[in-house]
Amino acid sequence: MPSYFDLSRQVAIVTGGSQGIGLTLAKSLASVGAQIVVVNRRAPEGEAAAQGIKQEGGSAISIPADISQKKSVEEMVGKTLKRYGRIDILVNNAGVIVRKPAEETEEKDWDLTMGINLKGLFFCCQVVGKQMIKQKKGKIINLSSVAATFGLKNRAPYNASKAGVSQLTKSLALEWAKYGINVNAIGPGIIRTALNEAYIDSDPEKKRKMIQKIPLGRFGKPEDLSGIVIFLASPASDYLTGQTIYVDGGYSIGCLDW
Amino acid sequence: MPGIKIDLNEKVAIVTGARRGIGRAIALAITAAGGQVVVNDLDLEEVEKVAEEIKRKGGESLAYQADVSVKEQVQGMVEAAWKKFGHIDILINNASILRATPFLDTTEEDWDATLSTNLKGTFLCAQSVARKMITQRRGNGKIINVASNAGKVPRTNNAAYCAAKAGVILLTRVLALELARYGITANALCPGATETEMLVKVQAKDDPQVLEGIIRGNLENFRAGIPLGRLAKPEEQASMVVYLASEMANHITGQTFFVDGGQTMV
Repeated sequence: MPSYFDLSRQVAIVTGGSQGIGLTLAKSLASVGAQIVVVNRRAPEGEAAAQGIKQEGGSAISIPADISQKKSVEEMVGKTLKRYGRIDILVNNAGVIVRKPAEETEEKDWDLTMGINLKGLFFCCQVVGKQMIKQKKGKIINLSSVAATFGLKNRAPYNASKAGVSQLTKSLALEWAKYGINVNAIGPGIIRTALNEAYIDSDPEKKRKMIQKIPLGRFGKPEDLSGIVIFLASPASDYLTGQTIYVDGGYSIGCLDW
Repeated sequence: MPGIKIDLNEKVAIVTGARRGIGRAIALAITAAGGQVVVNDLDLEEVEKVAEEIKRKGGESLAYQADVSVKEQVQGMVEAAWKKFGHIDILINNASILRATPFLDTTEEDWDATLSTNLKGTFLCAQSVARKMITQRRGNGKIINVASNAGKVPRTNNAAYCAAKAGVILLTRVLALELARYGITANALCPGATETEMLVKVQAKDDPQVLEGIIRGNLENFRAGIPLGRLAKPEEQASMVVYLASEMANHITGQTFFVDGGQTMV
Protein backbone atom coordinates (compact mmCIF):
# COMPACT_ATOMS: atom_id res chain seq x y z
CA MET A 1 0.00 0.00 0.00
CA PRO A 2 1.40 3.44 -0.88
CA SER A 3 2.35 5.04 2.45
CA TYR A 4 0.30 8.16 1.77
CA PHE A 5 -2.89 6.13 2.20
CA ASP A 6 -1.81 5.01 5.69
CA LEU A 7 -3.91 6.31 8.61
CA SER A 8 -2.23 4.46 11.46
CA ARG A 9 -3.14 5.86 14.91
CA GLN A 10 -5.23 8.70 13.40
CA VAL A 11 -8.41 9.46 15.32
CA ALA A 12 -11.56 9.56 13.17
CA ILE A 13 -15.08 10.52 14.20
CA VAL A 14 -17.78 9.04 11.95
CA THR A 15 -21.29 10.36 12.58
CA GLY A 16 -24.14 8.04 11.71
CA GLY A 17 -21.48 5.34 11.82
CA SER A 18 -23.55 2.48 13.17
CA GLN A 19 -25.15 1.31 9.92
CA GLY A 20 -25.34 1.60 6.13
CA ILE A 21 -22.82 3.83 4.38
CA GLY A 22 -21.50 5.25 7.68
CA LEU A 23 -20.51 1.85 9.01
CA THR A 24 -18.77 0.97 5.74
CA LEU A 25 -16.87 4.28 5.84
CA ALA A 26 -15.84 3.58 9.45
CA LYS A 27 -14.63 0.07 8.56
CA SER A 28 -12.74 1.42 5.55
CA LEU A 29 -10.84 3.96 7.65
CA ALA A 30 -10.20 1.32 10.32
CA SER A 31 -8.77 -1.03 7.67
CA VAL A 32 -5.92 1.42 7.02
CA GLY A 33 -5.22 1.97 10.71
CA ALA A 34 -7.54 4.74 11.94
CA GLN A 35 -9.04 4.62 15.44
CA ILE A 36 -12.77 5.09 14.98
CA VAL A 37 -15.27 6.93 17.16
CA VAL A 38 -18.72 5.72 16.09
CA VAL A 39 -21.29 8.45 16.76
CA ASN A 40 -25.01 7.73 16.56
CA ARG A 41 -28.13 8.33 18.59
CA ARG A 42 -28.81 4.85 20.00
CA ALA A 43 -26.06 3.47 22.26
CA PRO A 44 -26.67 -0.29 21.71
CA GLU A 45 -26.38 0.05 17.92
CA GLY A 46 -23.26 2.21 18.19
CA GLU A 47 -21.71 -0.32 20.57
CA ALA A 48 -22.54 -3.19 18.18
CA ALA A 49 -20.93 -1.31 15.28
CA ALA A 50 -17.77 -0.66 17.33
CA GLN A 51 -17.63 -4.36 18.25
CA GLY A 52 -18.01 -5.29 14.58
CA ILE A 53 -15.08 -3.07 13.60
CA LYS A 54 -12.95 -4.59 16.36
CA GLN A 55 -13.85 -8.11 15.24
CA GLU A 56 -12.40 -7.23 11.82
CA GLY A 57 -9.15 -6.21 13.49
CA GLY A 58 -9.79 -2.47 13.73
CA SER A 59 -9.92 -0.06 16.66
CA ALA A 60 -13.25 1.57 17.60
CA ILE A 61 -15.32 3.01 20.42
CA SER A 62 -18.92 4.19 20.50
CA ILE A 63 -19.96 7.63 21.77
CA PRO A 64 -23.71 8.26 21.44
CA ALA A 65 -24.91 11.78 20.58
CA ASP A 66 -27.77 13.63 18.95
CA ILE A 67 -25.85 15.81 16.52
CA SER A 68 -28.84 18.09 15.90
CA GLN A 69 -28.22 19.48 19.43
CA LYS A 70 -25.03 21.54 19.73
CA LYS A 71 -24.68 20.65 23.42
CA SER A 72 -24.71 16.96 22.58
CA VAL A 73 -22.02 17.53 19.93
CA GLU A 74 -19.85 19.36 22.47
CA GLU A 75 -20.19 16.49 24.95
CA MET A 76 -19.31 13.94 22.28
CA VAL A 77 -16.22 15.88 21.19
CA GLY A 78 -15.22 16.38 24.85
CA LYS A 79 -15.38 12.64 25.48
CA THR A 80 -13.38 11.94 22.31
CA LEU A 81 -10.64 14.37 23.35
CA LYS A 82 -10.56 12.97 26.88
CA ARG A 83 -9.98 9.52 25.44
CA TYR A 84 -7.59 10.30 22.54
CA GLY A 85 -6.39 13.91 23.04
CA ARG A 86 -6.79 14.75 19.36
CA ILE A 87 -9.09 14.43 16.33
CA ASP A 88 -7.51 13.98 12.91
CA ILE A 89 -10.52 13.10 10.77
CA LEU A 90 -14.21 14.02 10.93
CA VAL A 91 -16.64 12.20 8.65
CA ASN A 92 -20.01 13.95 8.71
CA ASN A 93 -22.19 11.13 7.46
CA ALA A 94 -25.30 11.31 9.63
CA GLY A 95 -28.30 12.23 7.53
CA VAL A 96 -32.00 11.63 7.06
CA ILE A 97 -34.29 11.63 4.07
CA VAL A 98 -38.06 12.15 4.04
CA ARG A 99 -39.59 11.06 0.74
CA LYS A 100 -42.73 13.07 0.00
CA PRO A 101 -44.00 15.30 -2.78
CA ALA A 102 -43.10 18.93 -2.03
CA GLU A 103 -46.73 19.94 -1.57
CA GLU A 104 -47.18 17.32 1.15
CA THR A 105 -43.95 18.04 3.02
CA GLU A 106 -44.67 19.15 6.57
CA GLU A 107 -42.81 21.63 8.74
CA LYS A 108 -41.55 18.80 10.94
CA ASP A 109 -40.11 17.00 7.86
CA TRP A 110 -38.24 20.16 6.92
CA ASP A 111 -36.97 20.78 10.45
CA LEU A 112 -35.87 17.17 10.94
CA THR A 113 -33.96 17.11 7.66
CA MET A 114 -32.28 20.48 8.15
CA GLY A 115 -31.62 19.82 11.83
CA ILE A 116 -29.52 16.73 11.15
CA ASN A 117 -28.24 17.15 7.57
CA LEU A 118 -27.22 20.78 7.77
CA LYS A 119 -27.31 22.24 11.30
CA GLY A 120 -25.92 19.07 12.85
CA LEU A 121 -23.18 18.89 10.25
CA PHE A 122 -22.26 22.55 10.73
CA PHE A 123 -21.88 22.29 14.50
CA CYS A 124 -19.91 19.04 14.24
CA CYS A 125 -17.55 20.93 11.90
CA GLN A 126 -17.40 23.93 14.21
CA VAL A 127 -16.75 22.07 17.46
CA VAL A 128 -14.25 19.63 15.92
CA GLY A 129 -12.81 22.46 13.79
CA LYS A 130 -11.81 24.39 16.93
CA GLN A 131 -9.67 21.42 17.96
CA MET A 132 -8.23 21.01 14.45
CA ILE A 133 -7.31 24.72 14.41
CA LYS A 134 -5.28 24.11 17.60
CA GLN A 135 -3.64 21.10 15.96
CA LYS A 136 -3.00 23.09 12.74
CA LYS A 137 -4.09 19.98 10.86
CA GLY A 138 -7.25 18.09 10.08
CA LYS A 139 -9.41 16.43 7.46
CA ILE A 140 -13.15 17.05 7.33
CA ILE A 141 -15.22 14.92 4.97
CA ASN A 142 -18.89 15.79 4.50
CA LEU A 143 -21.44 13.50 2.89
CA SER A 144 -23.23 15.46 0.22
CA SER A 145 -25.10 13.84 -2.69
CA VAL A 146 -25.73 14.10 -6.42
CA ALA A 147 -28.94 15.72 -5.15
CA ALA A 148 -26.82 18.79 -4.30
CA THR A 149 -26.77 19.81 -7.97
CA PHE A 150 -29.29 17.54 -9.71
CA GLY A 151 -32.98 17.66 -9.02
CA LEU A 152 -34.29 14.38 -7.60
CA LYS A 153 -38.05 14.19 -7.16
CA ASN A 154 -39.96 13.86 -3.88
CA ARG A 155 -37.24 14.93 -1.47
CA ALA A 156 -37.11 18.72 -1.63
CA PRO A 157 -35.74 19.35 1.89
CA TYR A 158 -33.07 16.66 1.41
CA ASN A 159 -31.92 18.21 -1.90
CA ALA A 160 -31.77 21.67 -0.32
CA SER A 161 -29.83 20.35 2.68
CA LYS A 162 -27.26 18.61 0.45
CA ALA A 163 -26.77 21.72 -1.70
CA GLY A 164 -26.14 23.45 1.62
CA VAL A 165 -23.57 20.80 2.55
CA SER A 166 -21.59 21.34 -0.67
CA GLN A 167 -21.64 25.12 -0.22
CA LEU A 168 -20.72 24.87 3.46
CA THR A 169 -17.83 22.64 2.42
CA LYS A 170 -16.45 25.44 0.24
CA SER A 171 -16.95 28.09 2.93
CA LEU A 172 -15.13 26.10 5.61
CA ALA A 173 -12.38 25.10 3.15
CA LEU A 174 -11.74 28.79 2.43
CA GLU A 175 -11.79 29.90 6.05
CA TRP A 176 -9.72 27.05 7.45
CA ALA A 177 -7.15 26.58 4.67
CA LYS A 178 -4.77 28.74 6.68
CA TYR A 179 -4.89 26.22 9.53
CA GLY A 180 -3.99 23.26 7.32
CA ILE A 181 -7.50 21.85 7.48
CA ASN A 182 -8.84 20.25 4.30
CA VAL A 183 -12.62 20.27 3.92
CA ASN A 184 -14.13 18.18 1.12
CA ALA A 185 -17.39 16.42 0.37
CA ILE A 186 -18.34 13.10 -1.14
CA GLY A 187 -21.36 13.14 -3.45
CA PRO A 188 -22.68 9.59 -3.67
CA GLY A 189 -25.08 8.69 -6.46
CA ILE A 190 -27.74 6.10 -5.83
CA ILE A 191 -26.22 3.72 -3.32
CA ARG A 192 -28.29 0.62 -2.55
CA THR A 193 -28.19 -0.11 1.19
CA ALA A 194 -30.26 -2.04 3.69
CA LEU A 195 -31.98 1.28 4.45
CA ASN A 196 -33.32 1.92 0.94
CA GLU A 197 -33.40 -1.44 -0.86
CA ALA A 198 -37.09 -1.96 -0.11
CA TYR A 199 -37.84 1.45 -1.64
CA ILE A 200 -35.64 0.80 -4.69
CA ASP A 201 -37.03 -2.69 -5.28
CA SER A 202 -40.69 -1.67 -4.76
CA ASP A 203 -41.25 -0.68 -8.39
CA PRO A 204 -39.30 -2.75 -11.00
CA GLU A 205 -40.10 -0.33 -13.85
CA LYS A 206 -38.83 2.63 -11.83
CA LYS A 207 -35.74 0.65 -10.83
CA ARG A 208 -34.97 -0.09 -14.50
CA LYS A 209 -35.30 3.59 -15.37
CA MET A 210 -33.03 4.57 -12.49
CA ILE A 211 -30.31 2.18 -13.66
CA GLN A 212 -30.62 3.53 -17.21
CA LYS A 213 -29.46 6.90 -15.93
CA ILE A 214 -26.25 5.44 -14.51
CA PRO A 215 -23.57 5.03 -17.23
CA LEU A 216 -21.77 2.25 -15.33
CA GLY A 217 -25.09 0.37 -15.39
CA ARG A 218 -25.54 -0.47 -11.71
CA PHE A 219 -26.44 1.05 -8.36
CA GLY A 220 -23.57 1.89 -6.07
CA LYS A 221 -22.62 -0.29 -3.09
CA PRO A 222 -21.49 1.27 0.20
CA GLU A 223 -18.07 -0.26 -0.55
CA ASP A 224 -17.85 1.98 -3.63
CA LEU A 225 -17.24 4.83 -1.17
CA SER A 226 -14.43 3.06 0.72
CA GLY A 227 -11.66 4.31 -1.53
CA ILE A 228 -12.72 7.94 -1.61
CA VAL A 229 -13.03 8.28 2.17
CA ILE A 230 -9.53 6.83 2.61
CA PHE A 231 -8.19 9.15 -0.08
CA LEU A 232 -9.80 12.25 1.42
CA ALA A 233 -8.69 11.34 4.96
CA SER A 234 -5.11 10.60 3.97
CA PRO A 235 -2.03 12.69 3.12
CA ALA A 236 -2.64 11.71 -0.54
CA SER A 237 -5.22 14.51 -0.73
CA ASP A 238 -3.28 17.26 1.10
CA TYR A 239 -3.64 19.73 -1.80
CA LEU A 240 -7.35 19.09 -2.40
CA THR A 241 -9.85 21.29 -0.62
CA GLY A 242 -13.37 22.68 -1.05
CA GLN A 243 -14.36 19.99 -3.54
CA THR A 244 -17.37 17.70 -3.83
CA ILE A 245 -16.32 14.36 -5.30
CA TYR A 246 -19.14 12.51 -7.04
CA VAL A 247 -19.00 8.73 -6.70
CA ASP A 248 -22.03 7.88 -8.78
CA GLY A 249 -21.23 5.56 -11.66
CA GLY A 250 -21.28 8.60 -13.93
CA TYR A 251 -24.81 9.79 -13.04
CA SER A 252 -23.65 13.41 -12.74
CA ILE A 253 -21.90 13.52 -16.13
CA GLY A 254 -25.21 14.65 -17.55
CA CYS A 255 -26.12 13.70 -21.10
CA LEU A 256 -28.35 15.34 -23.65
CA ASP A 257 -30.51 12.59 -25.11
CA TRP A 258 -30.11 12.11 -28.84
CA MET B 1 -11.14 -3.19 3.74
CA PRO B 2 -14.25 -4.63 2.15
CA GLY B 3 -12.67 -6.29 -0.90
CA ILE B 4 -10.92 -3.42 -2.64
CA LYS B 5 -7.39 -3.35 -3.98
CA ILE B 6 -5.56 -0.27 -2.73
CA ASP B 7 -2.35 -0.74 -4.75
CA LEU B 8 -1.53 -1.02 -8.48
CA ASN B 9 0.10 -4.45 -8.47
CA GLU B 10 -0.24 -6.22 -11.86
CA LYS B 11 -1.45 -3.00 -13.51
CA VAL B 12 0.20 -1.59 -16.63
CA ALA B 13 0.06 2.14 -17.30
CA ILE B 14 1.05 4.49 -20.10
CA VAL B 15 2.04 7.98 -18.98
CA THR B 16 2.52 10.55 -21.75
CA GLY B 17 4.81 13.53 -21.30
CA ALA B 18 6.67 11.77 -18.51
CA ARG B 19 10.12 13.32 -18.65
CA ARG B 20 9.57 15.95 -15.97
CA GLY B 21 7.09 17.69 -13.70
CA ILE B 22 3.72 16.13 -13.04
CA GLY B 23 4.15 13.35 -15.63
CA ARG B 24 7.40 12.19 -14.08
CA ALA B 25 5.88 12.26 -10.58
CA ILE B 26 2.91 10.21 -11.82
CA ALA B 27 5.17 7.58 -13.42
CA LEU B 28 7.23 7.29 -10.22
CA ALA B 29 4.11 7.07 -8.04
CA ILE B 30 2.50 4.37 -10.21
CA THR B 31 5.61 2.20 -10.05
CA ALA B 32 5.98 2.85 -6.30
CA ALA B 33 2.40 1.56 -5.92
CA GLY B 34 3.34 -1.66 -7.74
CA GLY B 35 2.42 -0.87 -11.35
CA GLN B 36 4.50 -1.15 -14.51
CA VAL B 37 4.68 1.87 -16.74
CA VAL B 38 5.42 3.05 -20.27
CA VAL B 39 7.03 6.46 -19.91
CA ASN B 40 6.43 8.43 -23.08
CA ASP B 41 7.89 11.70 -24.19
CA LEU B 42 9.06 13.58 -27.27
CA ASP B 43 12.51 13.71 -25.69
CA LEU B 44 13.79 10.13 -25.48
CA GLU B 45 17.07 10.92 -23.76
CA GLU B 46 15.33 12.74 -20.88
CA VAL B 47 12.57 10.18 -20.44
CA GLU B 48 15.15 7.37 -20.36
CA LYS B 49 16.54 9.04 -17.23
CA VAL B 50 13.11 8.62 -15.64
CA ALA B 51 13.08 4.96 -16.70
CA GLU B 52 16.51 4.52 -15.07
CA GLU B 53 15.28 6.16 -11.88
CA ILE B 54 12.30 3.78 -11.81
CA LYS B 55 14.67 0.83 -12.30
CA ARG B 56 16.95 2.00 -9.47
CA LYS B 57 13.91 2.04 -7.21
CA GLY B 58 13.01 -1.52 -8.16
CA GLY B 59 10.24 -0.77 -10.68
CA GLU B 60 9.78 -1.77 -14.30
CA SER B 61 9.20 0.57 -17.20
CA LEU B 62 9.64 1.12 -20.92
CA ALA B 63 10.78 4.48 -22.27
CA TYR B 64 9.08 5.27 -25.57
CA GLN B 65 9.47 8.26 -27.83
CA ALA B 66 6.31 9.42 -29.58
CA ASP B 67 4.53 12.62 -30.53
CA VAL B 68 1.04 12.15 -29.09
CA SER B 69 -0.45 14.37 -31.81
CA VAL B 70 0.61 11.95 -34.58
CA LYS B 71 -1.67 8.94 -34.92
CA GLU B 72 0.93 6.50 -36.31
CA GLN B 73 3.31 7.30 -33.46
CA VAL B 74 0.57 6.81 -30.88
CA GLN B 75 -0.35 3.44 -32.37
CA GLY B 76 3.33 2.46 -32.36
CA MET B 77 3.51 3.31 -28.65
CA VAL B 78 0.38 1.35 -27.78
CA GLU B 79 1.62 -1.71 -29.75
CA ALA B 80 5.02 -1.50 -28.03
CA ALA B 81 3.32 -1.36 -24.62
CA TRP B 82 1.11 -4.30 -25.53
CA LYS B 83 4.08 -6.34 -26.79
CA LYS B 84 6.19 -5.64 -23.71
CA PHE B 85 3.55 -6.07 -20.97
CA GLY B 86 0.68 -8.02 -22.58
CA HIS B 87 -2.06 -5.66 -21.42
CA ILE B 88 -2.79 -1.98 -20.70
CA ASP B 89 -4.92 -1.05 -17.68
CA ILE B 90 -4.28 2.64 -17.20
CA LEU B 91 -3.72 5.58 -19.54
CA ILE B 92 -2.54 8.92 -18.19
CA ASN B 93 -2.85 11.61 -20.87
CA ASN B 94 -0.44 14.09 -19.39
CA ALA B 95 1.58 15.43 -22.35
CA SER B 96 0.88 19.11 -22.71
CA ILE B 97 2.46 22.38 -23.75
CA LEU B 98 1.95 25.92 -22.50
CA ARG B 99 2.87 29.09 -24.34
CA ALA B 100 2.16 32.17 -22.27
CA THR B 101 1.18 34.89 -24.74
CA PRO B 102 -1.47 37.60 -24.69
CA PHE B 103 -4.51 36.69 -26.79
CA LEU B 104 -3.82 39.43 -29.35
CA ASP B 105 -0.26 38.19 -29.90
CA THR B 106 -1.11 34.49 -30.14
CA THR B 107 -0.10 33.15 -33.54
CA GLU B 108 -1.83 30.50 -35.60
CA GLU B 109 1.20 28.31 -34.98
CA ASP B 110 0.82 28.78 -31.19
CA TRP B 111 -2.83 27.79 -31.44
CA ASP B 112 -2.22 24.73 -33.63
CA ALA B 113 0.69 23.45 -31.54
CA THR B 114 -1.25 23.83 -28.28
CA LEU B 115 -4.46 22.24 -29.54
CA SER B 116 -2.56 19.40 -31.27
CA THR B 117 -0.64 18.25 -28.23
CA ASN B 118 -3.11 19.10 -25.48
CA LEU B 119 -6.42 18.08 -27.10
CA LYS B 120 -5.86 16.00 -30.23
CA GLY B 121 -3.10 14.05 -28.45
CA THR B 122 -5.53 13.19 -25.64
CA PHE B 123 -8.12 12.06 -28.21
CA LEU B 124 -5.68 9.89 -30.17
CA CYS B 125 -4.16 8.19 -27.13
CA ALA B 126 -7.55 7.59 -25.51
CA GLN B 127 -9.01 6.06 -28.68
CA SER B 128 -6.04 3.83 -29.38
CA VAL B 129 -5.73 2.61 -25.78
CA ALA B 130 -9.49 2.19 -25.28
CA ARG B 131 -9.62 -0.13 -28.30
CA LYS B 132 -6.92 -2.28 -26.70
CA MET B 133 -8.69 -2.21 -23.33
CA ILE B 134 -11.90 -3.41 -24.97
CA THR B 135 -10.10 -6.23 -26.80
CA GLN B 136 -8.26 -7.49 -23.75
CA ARG B 137 -11.47 -7.80 -21.67
CA ARG B 138 -9.74 -7.30 -18.32
CA GLY B 139 -12.35 -4.80 -17.13
CA ASN B 140 -11.62 -1.81 -14.89
CA GLY B 141 -9.75 0.16 -17.56
CA LYS B 142 -8.84 3.63 -16.35
CA ILE B 143 -8.28 6.72 -18.45
CA ILE B 144 -7.10 9.79 -16.60
CA ASN B 145 -6.70 13.00 -18.55
CA VAL B 146 -4.59 15.74 -17.08
CA ALA B 147 -6.49 18.96 -17.79
CA SER B 148 -6.03 22.06 -15.65
CA ASN B 149 -8.08 24.38 -13.50
CA ALA B 150 -7.52 26.73 -16.45
CA GLY B 151 -9.98 24.49 -18.28
CA LYS B 152 -12.72 25.77 -15.97
CA VAL B 153 -11.68 29.24 -14.87
CA PRO B 154 -10.07 31.62 -17.36
CA ARG B 155 -6.54 32.97 -17.09
CA THR B 156 -5.04 35.82 -19.00
CA ASN B 157 -2.29 35.06 -21.53
CA ASN B 158 -3.29 31.39 -21.84
CA ALA B 159 -6.08 31.49 -24.47
CA ALA B 160 -5.14 28.40 -26.48
CA TYR B 161 -4.19 26.47 -23.35
CA CYS B 162 -7.49 27.29 -21.61
CA ALA B 163 -9.54 26.32 -24.68
CA ALA B 164 -7.65 23.04 -25.09
CA LYS B 165 -8.00 22.13 -21.41
CA ALA B 166 -11.73 22.93 -21.41
CA GLY B 167 -11.94 20.58 -24.39
CA VAL B 168 -10.12 17.88 -22.43
CA ILE B 169 -12.65 18.17 -19.59
CA LEU B 170 -15.68 17.72 -21.84
CA LEU B 171 -13.98 15.04 -23.93
CA THR B 172 -13.40 13.16 -20.68
CA ARG B 173 -17.12 13.21 -19.92
CA VAL B 174 -18.00 11.93 -23.38
CA LEU B 175 -15.45 9.13 -23.06
CA ALA B 176 -16.95 8.25 -19.68
CA LEU B 177 -20.41 7.96 -21.22
CA GLU B 178 -19.39 5.98 -24.29
CA LEU B 179 -16.87 3.66 -22.62
CA ALA B 180 -18.86 2.89 -19.44
CA ARG B 181 -20.38 -0.22 -21.08
CA TYR B 182 -16.88 -1.70 -21.41
CA GLY B 183 -16.05 -1.12 -17.76
CA ILE B 184 -13.68 1.71 -18.65
CA THR B 185 -13.83 4.87 -16.55
CA ALA B 186 -12.55 8.27 -17.64
CA ASN B 187 -11.79 11.14 -15.28
CA ALA B 188 -9.97 14.45 -15.51
CA LEU B 189 -7.37 15.82 -13.13
CA CYS B 190 -7.22 19.61 -12.92
CA PRO B 191 -3.99 20.64 -11.28
CA GLY B 192 -3.66 24.18 -10.04
CA ALA B 193 -0.32 25.94 -9.84
CA THR B 194 2.25 23.20 -9.28
CA GLU B 195 6.02 23.40 -8.71
CA THR B 196 7.08 22.41 -12.20
CA GLU B 197 9.38 23.78 -14.85
CA MET B 198 6.31 24.65 -16.93
CA LEU B 199 4.96 26.91 -14.22
CA VAL B 200 8.19 28.35 -12.90
CA LYS B 201 9.93 28.99 -16.22
CA VAL B 202 7.06 29.62 -18.64
CA GLN B 203 4.27 31.08 -16.57
CA ALA B 204 6.22 32.89 -13.88
CA LYS B 205 9.27 33.57 -16.08
CA ASP B 206 11.53 32.52 -13.17
CA ASP B 207 10.40 35.62 -11.26
CA PRO B 208 9.81 34.97 -7.51
CA GLN B 209 7.48 37.99 -7.34
CA VAL B 210 5.24 36.57 -10.04
CA LEU B 211 5.21 33.21 -8.25
CA GLU B 212 4.19 34.96 -5.04
CA GLY B 213 1.51 36.75 -7.05
CA ILE B 214 0.15 33.43 -8.25
CA ILE B 215 -0.18 32.24 -4.67
CA ARG B 216 -1.60 35.43 -3.17
CA GLY B 217 -3.79 36.34 -6.12
CA ASN B 218 -2.57 38.43 -8.99
CA LEU B 219 -4.94 39.89 -11.53
CA GLU B 220 -2.15 40.19 -14.06
CA ASN B 221 -1.69 36.44 -14.27
CA PHE B 222 -4.42 34.64 -12.34
CA ARG B 223 -7.83 35.63 -11.11
CA ALA B 224 -7.67 34.07 -7.68
CA GLY B 225 -5.15 33.34 -4.98
CA ILE B 226 -4.60 29.90 -3.50
CA PRO B 227 -6.40 29.37 -0.15
CA LEU B 228 -3.83 26.78 1.01
CA GLY B 229 -1.21 29.47 0.41
CA ARG B 230 1.36 27.45 -1.51
CA LEU B 231 2.01 25.72 -4.81
CA ALA B 232 1.31 22.00 -5.15
CA LYS B 233 4.15 19.54 -5.25
CA PRO B 234 4.04 17.28 -8.34
CA GLU B 235 3.71 14.33 -5.92
CA GLU B 236 0.40 15.79 -4.70
CA GLN B 237 -0.98 15.55 -8.23
CA ALA B 238 0.43 12.02 -8.56
CA SER B 239 -1.30 10.76 -5.40
CA MET B 240 -4.68 11.77 -6.85
CA VAL B 241 -3.83 9.88 -10.03
CA VAL B 242 -2.81 6.74 -8.12
CA TYR B 243 -6.14 6.86 -6.30
CA LEU B 244 -8.12 7.31 -9.54
CA ALA B 245 -6.11 4.58 -11.29
CA SER B 246 -6.75 2.10 -8.48
CA GLU B 247 -9.75 -0.11 -7.90
CA MET B 248 -10.65 2.25 -5.03
CA ALA B 249 -12.17 4.53 -7.69
CA ASN B 250 -14.13 1.93 -9.69
CA HIS B 251 -17.47 3.74 -9.33
CA ILE B 252 -16.14 7.18 -10.24
CA THR B 253 -16.41 8.25 -13.87
CA GLY B 254 -16.78 11.43 -15.91
CA GLN B 255 -15.60 13.56 -13.02
CA THR B 256 -13.19 16.47 -12.82
CA PHE B 257 -10.82 16.69 -9.88
CA PHE B 258 -9.40 20.04 -8.88
CA VAL B 259 -6.15 19.52 -6.98
CA ASP B 260 -5.42 23.20 -6.65
CA GLY B 261 -5.31 24.14 -3.00
CA GLY B 262 -8.87 25.45 -3.15
CA GLN B 263 -8.26 27.92 -6.00
CA THR B 264 -11.25 26.71 -8.01
CA MET B 265 -14.21 25.77 -5.85
CA VAL B 266 -16.82 25.27 -8.55
